[in-house]
Amino acid sequence: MKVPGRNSKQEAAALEREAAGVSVVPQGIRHDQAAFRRKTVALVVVLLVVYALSLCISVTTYQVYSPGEAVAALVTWVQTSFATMFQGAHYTTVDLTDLCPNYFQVLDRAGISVMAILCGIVLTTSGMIYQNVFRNPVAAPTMLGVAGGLNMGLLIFVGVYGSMALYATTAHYLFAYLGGFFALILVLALSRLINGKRWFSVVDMLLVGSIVSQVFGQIVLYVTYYVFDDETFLIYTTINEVLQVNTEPVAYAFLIVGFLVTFIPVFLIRFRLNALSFTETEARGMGVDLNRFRYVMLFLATIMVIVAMAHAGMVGMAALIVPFLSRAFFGAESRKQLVGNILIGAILVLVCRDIAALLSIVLWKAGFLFDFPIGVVASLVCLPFFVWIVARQQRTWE
Amino acid sequence: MAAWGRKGAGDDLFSAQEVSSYADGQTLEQDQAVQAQNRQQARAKAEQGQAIKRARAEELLKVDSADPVSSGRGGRKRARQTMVDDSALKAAVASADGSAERFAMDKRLRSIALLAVALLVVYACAVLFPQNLVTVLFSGDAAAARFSELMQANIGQLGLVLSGKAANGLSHSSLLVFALVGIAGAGLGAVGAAYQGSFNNALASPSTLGVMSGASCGMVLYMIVGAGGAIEATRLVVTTKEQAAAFEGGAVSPLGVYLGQVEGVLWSFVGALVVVFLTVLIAKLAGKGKLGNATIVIAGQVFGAIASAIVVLFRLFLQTTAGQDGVNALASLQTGDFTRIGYIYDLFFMGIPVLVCIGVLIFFSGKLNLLAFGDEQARMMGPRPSVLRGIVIGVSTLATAVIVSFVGAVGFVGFMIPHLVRRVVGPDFRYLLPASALAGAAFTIAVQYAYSCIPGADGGVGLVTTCLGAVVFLFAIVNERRVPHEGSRQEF
Repeated sequence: MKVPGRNSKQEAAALEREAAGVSVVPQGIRHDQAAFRRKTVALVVVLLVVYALSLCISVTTYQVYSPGEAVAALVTWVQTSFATMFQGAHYTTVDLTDLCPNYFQVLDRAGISVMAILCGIVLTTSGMIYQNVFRNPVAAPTMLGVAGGLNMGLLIFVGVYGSMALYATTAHYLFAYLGGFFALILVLALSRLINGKRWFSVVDMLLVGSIVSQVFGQIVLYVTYYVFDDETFLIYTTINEVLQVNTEPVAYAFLIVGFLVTFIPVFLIRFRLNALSFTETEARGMGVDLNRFRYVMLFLATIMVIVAMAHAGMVGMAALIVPFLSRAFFGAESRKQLVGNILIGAILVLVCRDIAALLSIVLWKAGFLFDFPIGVVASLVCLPFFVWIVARQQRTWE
Repeated sequence: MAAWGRKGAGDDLFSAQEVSSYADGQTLEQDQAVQAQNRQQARAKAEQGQAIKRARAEELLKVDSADPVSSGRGGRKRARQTMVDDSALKAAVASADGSAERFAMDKRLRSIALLAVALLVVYACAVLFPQNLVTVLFSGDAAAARFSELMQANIGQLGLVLSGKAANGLSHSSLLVFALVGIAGAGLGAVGAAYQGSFNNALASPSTLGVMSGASCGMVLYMIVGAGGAIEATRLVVTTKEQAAAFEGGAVSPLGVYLGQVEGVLWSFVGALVVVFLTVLIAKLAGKGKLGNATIVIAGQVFGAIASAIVVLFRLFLQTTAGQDGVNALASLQTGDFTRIGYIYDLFFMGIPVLVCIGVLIFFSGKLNLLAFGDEQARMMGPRPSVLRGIVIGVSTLATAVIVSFVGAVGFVGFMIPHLVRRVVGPDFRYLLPASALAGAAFTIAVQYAYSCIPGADGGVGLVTTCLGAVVFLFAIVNERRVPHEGSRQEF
């Protein structure tokens, strides 16, 4: 039934369908793309707002700044950068703290927040890959025991370096990465040992992962309680559990290298991630060797989660929650999922760090001399989302 | 010789014994008796074959449980009426998969008897052998003399304790301590087997539902809230300063002091139960009333992680305010410490509840076998699987919470022992549960005795059980070349 007038083609089609009695109105591709763009822009705006708010919280000096101060510091930074670029040495002799108080703290904080965003991106991408590879909505990247490996690496680091551990940044991240990597290799080797032919069996990897994480967890507990003295125990907890505020260039270097090495390949083959939801024969028909693709993806995803947890602390639960949120928000297609994962993950990790930083400031003002552990914040922030996920699990996994 | 012609009933009628009786030239009566016996066996085997055929026919004509008409109560009753007898079916299935030949009844009972004897031997050794065995054995020439001297001292002490003349009574005597250690180990082993049966998953262990993190969480909350910060923490259960002073002055009765000490244990117990309660609640939310396995495991991990994170937070708080002393009690809880138990009252507060729970689990062990068939088949053969699972998981969690609150997180025993025992006794839970309990007790007593021989080692026995358990378990699995998989129709 065509109504004479200025109906657009879509409206006419919709009216036609309505007349024919079809209840489901299929959206056009342009509508999809427009919705996707709107949602992406909304999330980017939210991310920028959260980033701006995070600039106001300084953990190194336990102060909260007003947004005006933060903006002033950023403006000063832009001015001085331009000045140094175009006019050389003249402006570098100016005492920047006279120009703008708290300049360096805000700049530090800007860097830390960028690190948190990168960690969020990497963490949730690995979560998404794990859920696609294991085809199970409750697969988390920490279930292969890499958290235990990280803890072991840091344990050895603190044991070896003692009170110098707080200053030896390079060794810190080196030990952390190697520890997580070693746990991954151990799990793969053991599951290969158990399951002679096929490496990739869900039950076996879970079994070995749970064993490895239990063993490493017990070793860490025993050593920290009975072998370390008080001071070393406190140093270990400070390095491992508590909010990471390492602003040295080495930390950035490790994070950026880890991020590029793991995320770029995944981003380049993001279109192939759809193939993980097909069967073996269908995927082969599309030219994707599913088994090898799975191994490679799993390996990359585990390295990703090691990178993220080494730099952001024990935020492993976000990798379980965020892919579900992004699926609910963006739909199940791989490309959109990836974008949604990135944005929501960045926002979540940044929000967790901000809350932990605020609570640390509160504790500091109250007289307690420790920072708030980020693991508690991440767990408690993710808990309501987890309950929601689990309550909605009657929907078929797609 | 007419028996040679009767081939219809199967060739395995002619065992070596029967052939030799013919060869010896028996009398006619004996020959007829043997033939009658053969006929009886043939009839039994034919009945078994019929039972298998009936079971297979039953499967083919099985009532579809998704069908609303037949899945109601009437449908279940109708289905049950047309089924064969429970025991015949079980026997048919057992012989169909060959486990009855491999694990014949007397062989299984013999294994259990052997395990019981081994347990008694280990217990006797642990009680009688000197405590610092390592230093004794390595003290050079006088080793043997010193060993026998110490052993005589132990026997003397044992005599004192048994005749009631020891200073502390029964408390902290090696007799009672190792008995309690054995009870804890038995509880962990039985609970591990029960969890593996009710989740129908080889990965299940007593720590699956986050019990150990919950117990640590409860204890740390007690140290901050309950004891009001006035903690003089020893390696044993947390004691407040007033109570320690009172005990030394004799102003409070031993039971009173014990009850004051056991308050921390109570908080751990409640903490463990709260975590499990939350886990089960969330899992029920997911399945809309039913208990889905994968969901409950993941929920257990999530809530366990939250509890551990809370423990980290409060441990930091205690470390910075009270120093390392403030966390010593937490140390023994998180790494497992068998020196925390030893009072006579522990027998009443820990020993008897755990033994009662083990008894209940053994009572339900026969029904646990049905869960291995998968939910839909089990529903037709016995009580509803969700009810059965609820009871078994509830009782197991209670036992685990009790054990972990008293002894700390002694991990991996419940994970590894059922797997090892299954290779000896077979997968039938009527034998697996008692055998796991016995093996768990023996293992724990042996490990604790060996650990106490190391000079200066109090807590941290959980590390030994975990590492040893991991190594042994991996050996067993690699030898087995396969991992027991879940039954059909479970979510995962």
